[in-house]
Amino acid sequence: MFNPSASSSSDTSELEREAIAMFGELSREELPQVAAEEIRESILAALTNTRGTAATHRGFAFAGALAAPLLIAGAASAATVHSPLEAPAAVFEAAASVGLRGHSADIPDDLDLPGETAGNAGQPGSPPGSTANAPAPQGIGQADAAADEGTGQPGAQPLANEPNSEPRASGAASQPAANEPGSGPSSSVSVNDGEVNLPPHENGKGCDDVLFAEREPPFASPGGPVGCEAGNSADHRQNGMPEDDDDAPDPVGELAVEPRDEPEVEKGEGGTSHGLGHGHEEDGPGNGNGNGNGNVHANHGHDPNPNGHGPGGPGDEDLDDGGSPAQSDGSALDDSATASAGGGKSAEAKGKNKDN
Amino acid sequence: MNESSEWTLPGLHAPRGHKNERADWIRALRERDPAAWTAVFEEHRDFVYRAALSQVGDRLLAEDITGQVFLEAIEGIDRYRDRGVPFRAWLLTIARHRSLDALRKRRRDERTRLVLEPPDGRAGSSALEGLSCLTPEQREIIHLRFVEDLPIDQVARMTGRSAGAVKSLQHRALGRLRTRLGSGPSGGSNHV
Repeated sequence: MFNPSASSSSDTSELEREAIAMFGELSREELPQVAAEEIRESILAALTNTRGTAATHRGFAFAGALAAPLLIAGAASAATVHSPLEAPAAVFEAAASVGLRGHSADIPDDLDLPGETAGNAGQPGSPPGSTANAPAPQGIGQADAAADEGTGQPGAQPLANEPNSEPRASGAASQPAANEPGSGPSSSVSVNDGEVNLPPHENGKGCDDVLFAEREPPFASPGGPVGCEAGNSADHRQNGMPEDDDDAPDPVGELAVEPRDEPEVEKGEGGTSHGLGHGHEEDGPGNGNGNGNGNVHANHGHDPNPNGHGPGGPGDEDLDDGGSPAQSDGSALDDSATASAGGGKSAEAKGKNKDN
Repeated sequence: MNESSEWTLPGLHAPRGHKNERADWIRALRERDPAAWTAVFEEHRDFVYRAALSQVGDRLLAEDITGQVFLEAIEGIDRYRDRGVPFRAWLLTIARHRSLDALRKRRRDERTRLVLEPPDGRAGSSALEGLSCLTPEQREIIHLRFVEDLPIDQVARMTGRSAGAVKSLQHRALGRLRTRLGSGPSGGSNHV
Protein backbone atom coordinates (compact mmCIF):
# COMPACT_ATOMS: atom_id res chain seq x y z
CA MET A 1 0.00 0.00 0.00
CA PHE A 2 1.24 3.43 -0.85
CA ASN A 3 2.53 5.29 2.13
CA PRO A 4 3.94 8.63 1.09
CA SER A 5 5.17 9.43 4.54
CA ALA A 6 7.34 6.40 4.47
CA SER A 7 9.04 7.61 1.34
CA SER A 8 11.25 10.18 2.86
CA SER A 9 13.89 9.89 0.23
CA SER A 10 13.67 11.64 -3.10
CA ASP A 11 13.64 8.39 -4.90
CA THR A 12 10.86 8.99 -7.40
CA SER A 13 10.78 5.45 -8.58
CA GLU A 14 10.08 4.28 -5.08
CA LEU A 15 7.23 6.75 -4.81
CA GLU A 16 5.88 5.61 -8.11
CA ARG A 17 5.97 1.99 -7.08
CA GLU A 18 4.06 2.74 -3.98
CA ALA A 19 1.62 4.87 -5.93
CA ILE A 20 1.04 2.00 -8.31
CA ALA A 21 0.41 -0.26 -5.40
CA MET A 22 -1.95 2.25 -3.84
CA PHE A 23 -3.94 3.07 -6.91
CA GLY A 24 -3.82 -0.40 -8.32
CA GLU A 25 -7.12 -1.13 -6.70
CA LEU A 26 -8.68 1.52 -8.87
CA SER A 27 -7.40 -0.20 -11.96
CA ARG A 28 -9.65 -3.11 -11.12
CA GLU A 29 -12.69 -0.88 -11.04
CA GLU A 30 -15.09 -1.59 -13.85
CA LEU A 31 -18.33 -0.11 -14.90
CA PRO A 32 -21.04 -2.26 -13.36
CA GLN A 33 -22.97 -4.36 -15.82
CA VAL A 34 -26.27 -2.83 -14.87
CA ALA A 35 -24.97 0.63 -15.54
CA ALA A 36 -23.34 -0.55 -18.73
CA GLU A 37 -26.63 -1.93 -19.99
CA GLU A 38 -28.40 1.30 -19.26
CA ILE A 39 -25.75 3.34 -20.97
CA ARG A 40 -25.75 1.02 -23.97
CA GLU A 41 -29.48 1.42 -24.37
CA SER A 42 -29.27 5.16 -24.06
CA ILE A 43 -26.52 5.20 -26.67
CA LEU A 44 -28.60 3.22 -29.12
CA ALA A 45 -31.56 5.48 -28.49
CA ALA A 46 -29.41 8.53 -29.05
CA LEU A 47 -28.03 7.04 -32.24
CA THR A 48 -31.51 6.41 -33.55
CA ASN A 49 -32.57 9.96 -32.87
CA THR A 50 -29.39 11.45 -34.22
CA ARG A 51 -29.50 9.43 -37.41
CA GLY A 52 -33.06 10.50 -38.04
CA THR A 53 -32.12 14.10 -37.51
CA ALA A 54 -29.13 13.77 -39.79
CA ALA A 55 -31.28 12.29 -42.53
CA THR A 56 -33.70 15.15 -42.16
CA HIS A 57 -30.88 17.62 -42.41
CA ARG A 58 -29.63 15.95 -45.55
CA GLY A 59 -33.10 16.21 -47.02
CA PHE A 60 -33.26 19.89 -46.21
CA ALA A 61 -29.86 20.41 -47.73
CA PHE A 62 -30.96 18.72 -50.93
CA ALA A 63 -34.12 20.76 -51.09
CA GLY A 64 -32.13 23.87 -50.38
CA ALA A 65 -29.78 23.13 -53.22
CA LEU A 66 -32.73 22.87 -55.53
CA ALA A 67 -34.44 25.94 -54.22
CA ALA A 68 -31.42 28.22 -54.05
CA PRO A 69 -31.45 29.19 -57.73
CA LEU A 70 -35.14 29.84 -57.53
CA LEU A 71 -34.68 32.04 -54.51
CA ILE A 72 -32.00 33.94 -56.34
CA ALA A 73 -34.39 34.44 -59.18
CA GLY A 74 -36.87 35.81 -56.70
CA ALA A 75 -34.30 38.26 -55.47
CA ALA A 76 -33.69 39.28 -59.04
CA SER A 77 -37.32 40.00 -59.59
CA ALA A 78 -37.33 42.19 -56.53
CA ALA A 79 -34.23 43.99 -57.66
CA THR A 80 -35.79 44.82 -60.98
CA VAL A 81 -38.26 47.08 -59.29
CA HIS A 82 -35.70 49.80 -59.16
CA SER A 83 -32.96 48.73 -61.47
CA PRO A 84 -34.59 46.64 -64.11
CA LEU A 85 -31.69 46.58 -66.46
CA GLU A 86 -28.93 45.95 -64.04
CA ALA A 87 -29.36 43.76 -61.07
CA PRO A 88 -31.13 40.75 -62.56
CA ALA A 89 -28.38 39.79 -64.90
CA ALA A 90 -25.91 39.45 -62.10
CA VAL A 91 -28.27 37.41 -60.05
CA PHE A 92 -29.38 35.32 -62.98
CA GLU A 93 -25.81 34.59 -63.79
CA ALA A 94 -25.30 33.59 -60.22
CA ALA A 95 -28.32 31.36 -60.34
CA ALA A 96 -27.13 29.84 -63.55
CA SER A 97 -23.78 28.99 -62.10
CA VAL A 98 -25.49 27.41 -59.14
CA GLY A 99 -27.24 24.87 -61.17
CA LEU A 100 -29.77 26.14 -63.61
CA ARG A 101 -28.93 25.90 -67.20
CA GLY A 102 -28.09 29.08 -68.93
CA HIS A 103 -24.54 29.61 -67.89
CA SER A 104 -23.43 29.32 -71.41
CA ALA A 105 -19.81 28.80 -70.66
CA ASP A 106 -20.58 25.67 -68.71
CA ILE A 107 -23.11 24.02 -70.93
CA PRO A 108 -21.87 21.58 -73.50
CA ASP A 109 -23.06 22.00 -76.99
CA ASP A 110 -24.67 18.61 -77.11
CA LEU A 111 -26.79 19.24 -74.07
CA ASP A 112 -30.33 18.15 -74.80
CA LEU A 113 -32.57 20.98 -73.88
CA PRO A 114 -36.32 20.67 -73.86
CA GLY A 115 -38.44 22.93 -75.92
CA GLU A 116 -39.15 25.16 -73.01
CA THR A 117 -36.22 27.43 -72.90
CA ALA A 118 -34.98 29.63 -70.23
CA GLY A 119 -36.12 32.64 -72.05
CA ASN A 120 -39.70 31.73 -72.51
CA ALA A 121 -40.07 29.97 -69.23
CA GLY A 122 -38.90 32.81 -67.18
CA GLN A 123 -36.00 30.80 -65.92
CA PRO A 124 -32.82 32.60 -65.20
CA GLY A 125 -30.16 31.82 -67.66
CA SER A 126 -30.22 31.11 -71.29
CA PRO A 127 -29.78 28.05 -73.42
CA PRO A 128 -26.66 27.34 -75.37
CA GLY A 129 -26.26 29.68 -78.23
CA SER A 130 -28.02 32.47 -76.50
CA THR A 131 -25.14 33.36 -74.38
CA ALA A 132 -24.72 35.96 -71.82
CA ASN A 133 -21.73 37.12 -73.73
CA ALA A 134 -23.69 38.06 -76.78
CA PRO A 135 -22.35 41.35 -77.96
CA ALA A 136 -25.64 43.08 -78.44
CA PRO A 137 -29.26 42.50 -77.76
CA GLN A 138 -31.34 41.07 -80.48
CA GLY A 139 -33.53 43.67 -81.95
CA ILE A 140 -36.37 44.00 -84.28
CA GLY A 141 -35.99 41.87 -87.29
CA GLN A 142 -33.79 39.42 -85.57
CA ALA A 143 -36.48 37.69 -83.66
CA ASP A 144 -37.13 35.31 -86.49
CA ALA A 145 -33.87 33.63 -86.01
CA ALA A 146 -34.36 33.63 -82.34
CA ALA A 147 -37.77 32.09 -82.67
CA ASP A 148 -36.41 29.42 -84.92
CA GLU A 149 -33.87 28.56 -82.33
CA GLY A 150 -36.40 28.54 -79.63
CA THR A 151 -34.41 31.10 -77.78
CA GLY A 152 -36.34 34.14 -78.61
CA GLN A 153 -38.78 35.79 -76.40
CA PRO A 154 -42.00 34.00 -77.04
CA GLY A 155 -44.04 37.07 -77.04
CA ALA A 156 -46.83 35.29 -75.28
CA GLN A 157 -48.94 38.11 -74.10
CA PRO A 158 -50.27 37.67 -70.64
CA LEU A 159 -53.17 39.65 -69.47
CA ALA A 160 -52.16 42.11 -66.87
CA ASN A 161 -55.43 41.69 -65.07
CA GLU A 162 -55.26 37.95 -65.02
CA PRO A 163 -53.49 37.09 -61.83
CA ASN A 164 -53.72 33.39 -62.35
CA SER A 165 -52.26 33.37 -65.77
CA GLU A 166 -49.66 30.72 -66.34
CA PRO A 167 -46.31 32.26 -65.60
CA ARG A 168 -44.53 29.92 -67.94
CA ALA A 169 -45.19 30.06 -71.59
CA SER A 170 -44.84 26.87 -73.46
CA GLY A 171 -42.40 28.16 -75.98
CA ALA A 172 -42.65 29.73 -79.35
CA ALA A 173 -45.77 27.76 -80.14
CA SER A 174 -47.60 29.63 -77.46
CA GLN A 175 -47.28 32.88 -79.26
CA PRO A 176 -50.58 34.28 -80.22
CA ALA A 177 -51.28 34.61 -83.87
CA ALA A 178 -51.48 38.34 -83.57
CA ASN A 179 -47.80 38.46 -82.99
CA GLU A 180 -46.01 38.68 -86.22
CA PRO A 181 -42.91 36.57 -86.35
CA GLY A 182 -39.93 38.71 -86.51
CA SER A 183 -41.57 41.61 -84.91
CA GLY A 184 -40.05 40.91 -81.57
CA PRO A 185 -41.77 41.03 -78.32
CA SER A 186 -42.65 44.65 -78.48
CA SER A 187 -42.18 45.59 -82.07
CA SER A 188 -45.82 45.17 -82.99
CA VAL A 189 -47.02 47.83 -80.63
CA SER A 190 -46.54 51.48 -80.52
CA VAL A 191 -43.92 53.03 -78.38
CA ASN A 192 -46.28 55.69 -77.38
CA ASP A 193 -46.05 56.44 -73.72
CA GLY A 194 -49.74 56.94 -73.51
CA GLU A 195 -50.63 53.42 -74.38
CA VAL A 196 -50.37 52.08 -70.91
CA ASN A 197 -53.71 50.42 -71.18
CA LEU A 198 -52.42 47.85 -73.57
CA PRO A 199 -51.46 44.50 -72.21
CA PRO A 200 -47.91 44.04 -71.13
CA HIS A 201 -45.43 43.70 -73.94
CA GLU A 202 -47.81 45.38 -76.28
CA ASN A 203 -47.38 48.83 -74.95
CA GLY A 204 -43.80 49.15 -75.96
CA LYS A 205 -42.73 49.51 -72.41
CA GLY A 206 -42.80 45.97 -71.30
CA CYS A 207 -44.83 44.70 -68.46
CA ASP A 208 -43.20 46.74 -65.76
CA ASP A 209 -45.21 49.79 -66.56
CA VAL A 210 -48.40 47.81 -66.23
CA LEU A 211 -47.67 45.30 -63.56
CA PHE A 212 -45.71 47.66 -61.43
CA ALA A 213 -47.92 50.63 -62.04
CA GLU A 214 -49.41 50.67 -58.61
CA ARG A 215 -47.36 48.35 -56.54
CA GLU A 216 -45.16 45.37 -56.78
CA PRO A 217 -47.18 42.48 -58.12
CA PRO A 218 -46.92 39.02 -56.68
CA PHE A 219 -44.29 36.88 -58.20
CA ALA A 220 -44.86 33.46 -59.57
CA SER A 221 -41.75 31.58 -58.72
CA PRO A 222 -39.67 30.81 -60.67
CA GLY A 223 -41.17 32.88 -63.42
CA GLY A 224 -41.87 36.50 -63.48
CA PRO A 225 -44.60 38.51 -61.88
CA VAL A 226 -48.03 37.08 -61.89
CA GLY A 227 -49.64 38.19 -65.04
CA CYS A 228 -46.49 38.04 -67.07
CA GLU A 229 -46.06 34.85 -68.98
CA ALA A 230 -42.80 35.84 -70.51
CA GLY A 231 -40.88 35.29 -67.38
CA ASN A 232 -38.96 37.48 -65.09
CA SER A 233 -36.31 39.49 -66.75
CA ALA A 234 -35.49 43.11 -66.66
CA ASP A 235 -34.84 43.00 -70.35
CA HIS A 236 -38.15 41.67 -71.45
CA ARG A 237 -40.12 43.37 -68.75
CA GLN A 238 -38.99 46.67 -70.08
CA ASN A 239 -38.71 45.37 -73.58
CA GLY A 240 -35.47 47.19 -73.98
CA MET A 241 -37.20 50.45 -74.28
CA PRO A 242 -35.71 52.85 -71.82
CA GLU A 243 -37.21 56.26 -72.03
CA ASP A 244 -34.02 57.94 -72.97
CA ASP A 245 -33.20 55.47 -75.68
CA ASP A 246 -36.19 54.68 -77.79
CA ASP A 247 -34.05 53.22 -80.49
CA ALA A 248 -32.61 50.60 -78.32
CA PRO A 249 -33.26 47.19 -79.76
CA ASP A 250 -35.45 44.81 -77.90
CA PRO A 251 -33.71 42.08 -76.10
CA VAL A 252 -34.81 38.61 -76.92
CA GLY A 253 -33.45 36.21 -74.38
CA GLU A 254 -33.33 37.08 -70.80
CA LEU A 255 -29.63 36.87 -70.77
CA ALA A 256 -29.10 37.69 -74.36
CA VAL A 257 -27.58 40.94 -73.32
CA GLU A 258 -24.45 41.17 -71.37
CA PRO A 259 -25.36 43.85 -68.92
CA ARG A 260 -21.90 45.22 -68.93
CA ASP A 261 -22.30 46.07 -72.58
CA GLU A 262 -25.18 48.35 -71.92
CA PRO A 263 -24.23 51.90 -71.31
CA GLU A 264 -26.87 52.38 -68.69
CA VAL A 265 -25.41 49.67 -66.63
CA GLU A 266 -22.14 51.41 -66.34
CA LYS A 267 -23.49 54.30 -64.45
CA GLY A 268 -24.97 51.96 -61.93
CA GLU A 269 -22.07 49.66 -61.36
CA GLY A 270 -20.88 49.71 -57.87
CA GLY A 271 -17.64 48.04 -58.78
CA THR A 272 -17.92 45.68 -55.89
CA SER A 273 -20.06 42.79 -55.00
CA HIS A 274 -21.40 43.87 -51.71
CA GLY A 275 -24.39 41.69 -51.88
CA LEU A 276 -22.54 38.44 -51.87
CA GLY A 277 -21.38 38.97 -48.37
CA HIS A 278 -17.76 38.23 -49.02
CA GLY A 279 -16.37 41.57 -49.82
CA HIS A 280 -14.27 42.21 -52.80
CA GLU A 281 -11.50 39.77 -52.34
CA GLU A 282 -13.52 36.71 -53.13
CA ASP A 283 -15.24 38.19 -56.11
CA GLY A 284 -14.08 38.89 -59.52
CA PRO A 285 -14.12 42.32 -60.95
CA GLY A 286 -17.49 43.70 -61.53
CA ASN A 287 -20.17 44.48 -59.19
CA GLY A 288 -22.68 42.84 -57.06
CA ASN A 289 -26.36 42.52 -57.15
CA GLY A 290 -27.07 45.32 -54.83
CA ASN A 291 -28.05 43.30 -51.85
CA GLY A 292 -25.53 45.17 -49.88
CA ASN A 293 -23.31 44.28 -47.03
CA GLY A 294 -22.15 47.32 -45.25
CA ASN A 295 -20.18 45.34 -42.76
CA VAL A 296 -17.74 44.25 -45.39
CA HIS A 297 -16.57 47.72 -46.00
CA ALA A 298 -16.80 48.65 -42.43
CA ASN A 299 -14.59 45.78 -41.50
CA HIS A 300 -11.71 45.95 -43.83
CA GLY A 301 -11.98 49.56 -44.65
CA HIS A 302 -10.91 49.73 -48.24
CA ASP A 303 -12.14 51.91 -50.96
CA PRO A 304 -15.51 50.46 -51.76
CA ASN A 305 -15.59 51.88 -55.23
CA PRO A 306 -12.24 51.23 -56.80
CA ASN A 307 -13.54 51.52 -60.31
CA GLY A 308 -15.10 54.85 -59.79
CA HIS A 309 -18.64 53.68 -60.12
CA GLY A 310 -20.51 54.76 -57.14
CA PRO A 311 -22.39 52.19 -55.20
CA GLY A 312 -26.06 52.23 -54.96
CA GLY A 313 -27.68 53.02 -51.76
CA PRO A 314 -30.61 54.61 -50.10
CA GLY A 315 -32.35 56.84 -52.46
CA ASP A 316 -29.94 55.86 -55.15
CA GLU A 317 -31.84 53.10 -56.76
CA ASP A 318 -30.98 54.17 -60.24
CA LEU A 319 -27.37 53.62 -59.44
CA ASP A 320 -27.94 50.33 -57.82
CA ASP A 321 -25.32 47.75 -58.45
CA GLY A 322 -25.94 45.31 -61.11
CA GLY A 323 -24.75 43.72 -64.18
CA SER A 324 -21.90 41.83 -62.74
CA PRO A 325 -20.72 38.72 -64.44
CA ALA A 326 -21.53 35.42 -62.94
CA GLN A 327 -19.82 34.78 -59.70
CA SER A 328 -17.82 31.67 -59.69
CA ASP A 329 -17.63 31.41 -55.95
CA GLY A 330 -20.12 28.84 -54.90
CA SER A 331 -20.14 29.96 -51.35
CA ALA A 332 -20.88 33.44 -52.40
CA LEU A 333 -23.83 32.20 -54.31
CA ASP A 334 -25.06 30.30 -51.37
CA ASP A 335 -24.89 33.41 -49.35
CA SER A 336 -26.82 35.24 -51.96
CA ALA A 337 -29.44 32.59 -51.84
CA THR A 338 -29.58 32.89 -48.13
CA ALA A 339 -29.80 36.60 -48.32
CA SER A 340 -32.69 36.40 -50.68
CA ALA A 341 -34.46 33.63 -48.86
CA GLY A 342 -36.52 36.09 -47.00
CA GLY A 343 -38.11 37.34 -50.14
CA GLY A 344 -37.46 39.94 -52.69
CA LYS A 345 -37.94 42.77 -50.34
CA SER A 346 -35.11 41.66 -48.16
CA ALA A 347 -32.69 41.90 -51.02
CA GLU A 348 -33.75 45.40 -51.66
CA ALA A 349 -33.50 46.28 -48.03
CA LYS A 350 -30.02 44.89 -47.76
CA GLY A 351 -28.99 46.99 -50.67
CA LYS A 352 -29.50 49.96 -48.48
CA ASN A 353 -26.61 49.00 -46.33
CA LYS A 354 -24.00 49.81 -48.83
CA ASP A 355 -23.54 53.32 -47.72
CA ASN A 356 -22.39 52.19 -44.35
CA MET B 1 6.09 8.39 -34.15
CA ASN B 2 5.47 6.25 -37.12
CA GLU B 3 2.13 4.89 -38.17
CA SER B 4 2.67 1.38 -36.98
CA SER B 5 3.64 2.40 -33.51
CA GLU B 6 0.72 4.80 -33.32
CA TRP B 7 -1.62 1.95 -33.89
CA THR B 8 -0.31 0.29 -30.81
CA LEU B 9 -1.34 3.20 -28.62
CA PRO B 10 -4.38 2.51 -26.57
CA GLY B 11 -7.45 4.02 -28.07
CA LEU B 12 -5.79 5.11 -31.27
CA HIS B 13 -6.59 1.95 -33.09
CA ALA B 14 -10.05 1.08 -34.16
CA PRO B 15 -11.96 -0.79 -31.49
CA ARG B 16 -11.51 -4.50 -31.23
CA GLY B 17 -13.40 -6.38 -33.85
CA HIS B 18 -13.57 -3.43 -36.15
CA LYS B 19 -11.62 -4.21 -39.28
CA ASN B 20 -11.85 -0.89 -41.00
CA GLU B 21 -9.08 1.57 -41.15
CA ARG B 22 -9.11 4.45 -38.75
CA ALA B 23 -10.59 6.89 -41.25
CA ASP B 24 -13.36 4.49 -42.13
CA TRP B 25 -13.97 3.85 -38.51
CA ILE B 26 -14.28 7.56 -37.73
CA ARG B 27 -16.57 7.94 -40.71
CA ALA B 28 -18.74 5.20 -39.33
CA LEU B 29 -18.85 7.01 -36.03
CA ARG B 30 -19.88 10.21 -37.75
CA GLU B 31 -22.61 8.33 -39.53
CA ARG B 32 -23.80 7.17 -36.14
CA ASP B 33 -23.29 3.57 -36.96
CA PRO B 34 -24.63 1.67 -33.95
CA ALA B 35 -22.10 -1.10 -34.39
CA ALA B 36 -19.21 1.32 -34.39
CA TRP B 37 -20.47 3.16 -31.35
CA THR B 38 -21.20 -0.04 -29.50
CA ALA B 39 -17.63 -1.12 -30.17
CA VAL B 40 -16.36 2.21 -28.91
CA PHE B 41 -18.40 1.89 -25.78
CA GLU B 42 -17.23 -1.61 -25.06
CA GLU B 43 -13.65 -0.60 -25.69
CA HIS B 44 -13.52 2.51 -23.57
CA ARG B 45 -16.29 2.25 -21.03
CA ASP B 46 -14.12 1.10 -18.13
CA PHE B 47 -11.45 3.63 -18.96
CA VAL B 48 -13.97 6.44 -18.96
CA TYR B 49 -15.57 5.13 -15.81
CA ARG B 50 -12.25 5.02 -13.97
CA ALA B 51 -11.37 8.47 -15.21
CA ALA B 52 -14.62 9.81 -13.86
CA LEU B 53 -14.25 7.86 -10.65
CA SER B 54 -10.78 9.25 -10.13
CA GLN B 55 -12.13 12.72 -10.45
CA VAL B 56 -15.31 12.56 -8.43
CA GLY B 57 -14.57 9.68 -6.05
CA ASP B 58 -18.16 8.55 -6.26
CA ARG B 59 -19.04 5.39 -8.11
CA LEU B 60 -22.65 6.21 -8.75
CA LEU B 61 -21.73 9.64 -9.96
CA ALA B 62 -18.99 8.14 -12.11
CA GLU B 63 -21.54 5.85 -13.73
CA ASP B 64 -23.71 8.80 -14.60
CA ILE B 65 -20.75 10.68 -15.95
CA THR B 66 -19.75 7.71 -18.08
CA GLY B 67 -23.10 7.70 -19.76
CA GLN B 68 -22.94 11.44 -20.29
CA VAL B 69 -19.52 11.14 -21.88
CA PHE B 70 -20.64 8.71 -24.55
CA LEU B 71 -23.83 10.57 -25.29
CA GLU B 72 -21.89 13.77 -25.63
CA ALA B 73 -19.39 12.02 -27.86
CA ILE B 74 -22.19 10.88 -30.14
CA GLU B 75 -23.54 14.37 -30.30
CA GLY B 76 -20.19 15.97 -30.91
CA ILE B 77 -18.46 13.46 -33.14
CA ASP B 78 -18.88 15.79 -36.10
CA ARG B 79 -16.62 18.25 -34.36
CA TYR B 80 -13.98 15.63 -33.67
CA ARG B 81 -10.80 16.21 -35.59
CA ASP B 82 -8.44 13.34 -36.03
CA ARG B 83 -5.07 14.77 -35.18
CA GLY B 84 -3.44 11.48 -34.49
CA VAL B 85 -4.02 11.44 -30.77
CA PRO B 86 -5.78 8.50 -29.24
CA PHE B 87 -9.51 8.59 -29.55
CA ARG B 88 -9.85 7.91 -25.87
CA ALA B 89 -8.03 11.15 -25.21
CA TRP B 90 -11.06 12.91 -26.62
CA LEU B 91 -13.28 10.85 -24.38
CA LEU B 92 -11.00 11.64 -21.48
CA THR B 93 -11.40 15.35 -22.13
CA ILE B 94 -15.16 15.01 -22.13
CA ALA B 95 -15.01 12.97 -18.95
CA ARG B 96 -12.87 15.58 -17.24
CA HIS B 97 -15.28 18.36 -18.13
CA ARG B 98 -18.30 16.42 -17.02
CA SER B 99 -16.59 15.37 -13.82
CA LEU B 100 -15.73 18.93 -12.95
CA ASP B 101 -19.28 19.95 -13.65
CA ALA B 102 -20.47 17.19 -11.34
CA LEU B 103 -18.06 18.24 -8.62
CA ARG B 104 -19.22 21.81 -8.82
CA LYS B 105 -22.81 20.72 -8.63
CA ARG B 106 -22.07 18.46 -5.69
CA ARG B 107 -20.35 21.23 -3.84
CA ARG B 108 -23.34 23.44 -4.35
CA ASP B 109 -25.61 20.72 -3.04
CA GLU B 110 -23.42 20.08 -0.05
CA ARG B 111 -23.37 23.73 0.81
CA THR B 112 -27.09 23.80 0.54
CA ARG B 113 -27.80 20.69 2.56
CA LEU B 114 -24.78 20.87 4.86
CA VAL B 115 -24.21 17.20 4.28
CA LEU B 116 -20.62 16.19 4.74
CA GLU B 117 -21.00 12.47 4.64
CA PRO B 118 -19.05 10.52 2.09
CA PRO B 119 -20.64 10.86 -1.32
CA ASP B 120 -20.64 7.15 -1.86
CA GLY B 121 -21.64 4.51 0.57
CA ARG B 122 -18.88 2.29 -0.61
CA ALA B 123 -16.33 5.05 -0.48
CA GLY B 124 -13.56 4.93 1.99
CA SER B 125 -11.09 3.58 -0.45
CA SER B 126 -7.76 5.04 0.46
CA ALA B 127 -7.04 5.59 -3.20
CA LEU B 128 -10.15 7.64 -3.72
CA GLU B 129 -9.55 9.53 -0.52
CA GLY B 130 -6.05 10.25 -1.62
CA LEU B 131 -7.20 11.47 -4.99
CA SER B 132 -9.72 13.77 -3.41
CA CYS B 133 -6.98 16.03 -2.12
CA LEU B 134 -5.48 16.57 -5.54
CA THR B 135 -6.32 19.04 -8.23
CA PRO B 136 -8.24 17.81 -11.26
CA GLU B 137 -5.10 17.90 -13.38
CA GLN B 138 -3.15 15.94 -10.81
CA ARG B 139 -5.94 13.44 -10.47
CA GLU B 140 -5.95 12.93 -14.19
CA ILE B 141 -2.23 12.34 -14.26
CA ILE B 142 -2.40 9.96 -11.35
CA HIS B 143 -5.23 8.09 -13.00
CA LEU B 144 -3.41 7.67 -16.28
CA ARG B 145 -0.05 6.91 -14.74
CA PHE B 146 -0.93 4.63 -11.87
CA VAL B 147 -4.43 3.39 -12.59
CA GLU B 148 -4.14 2.89 -16.30
CA ASP B 149 -0.41 2.27 -15.96
CA LEU B 150 0.54 4.33 -18.98
CA PRO B 151 4.08 5.58 -19.53
CA ILE B 152 4.91 9.24 -19.34
CA ASP B 153 5.00 9.84 -23.09
CA GLN B 154 1.57 8.35 -23.68
CA VAL B 155 0.12 10.33 -20.80
CA ALA B 156 1.65 13.40 -22.33
CA ARG B 157 0.03 12.66 -25.67
CA MET B 158 -3.33 11.97 -24.19
CA THR B 159 -3.39 15.08 -22.07
CA GLY B 160 -1.78 17.35 -24.60
CA ARG B 161 1.07 18.18 -22.30
CA SER B 162 4.78 17.79 -22.55
CA ALA B 163 6.50 14.93 -20.82
CA GLY B 164 8.13 17.40 -18.47
CA ALA B 165 4.80 18.87 -17.53
CA VAL B 166 3.44 15.42 -16.84
CA LYS B 167 6.39 14.59 -14.63
CA SER B 168 6.00 17.86 -12.79
CA LEU B 169 2.32 17.28 -12.20
CA GLN B 170 2.99 13.76 -11.04
CA HIS B 171 5.71 14.94 -8.69
CA ARG B 172 3.50 17.56 -7.11
CA ALA B 173 0.65 15.09 -6.82
CA LEU B 174 2.77 12.56 -5.01
CA GLY B 175 4.13 15.25 -2.75
CA ARG B 176 0.68 16.38 -1.83
CA LEU B 177 -0.35 12.81 -1.16
CA ARG B 178 2.61 12.42 1.12
CA THR B 179 1.60 15.52 2.99
CA ARG B 180 -2.07 14.77 3.26
CA LEU B 181 -1.68 11.10 3.96
CA GLY B 182 1.24 11.59 6.27
CA SER B 183 -0.14 9.20 8.83
CA GLY B 184 -0.62 6.48 6.28
CA PRO B 185 -3.60 5.36 4.32
CA SER B 186 -5.79 5.30 7.38
CA GLY B 187 -5.00 8.87 8.13
CA GLY B 188 -6.53 10.25 4.97
CA SER B 189 -9.82 11.24 6.47
CA ASN B 190 -9.91 14.83 5.39
CA HIS B 191 -12.16 14.39 2.44
CA VAL B 192 -12.57 17.53 0.41
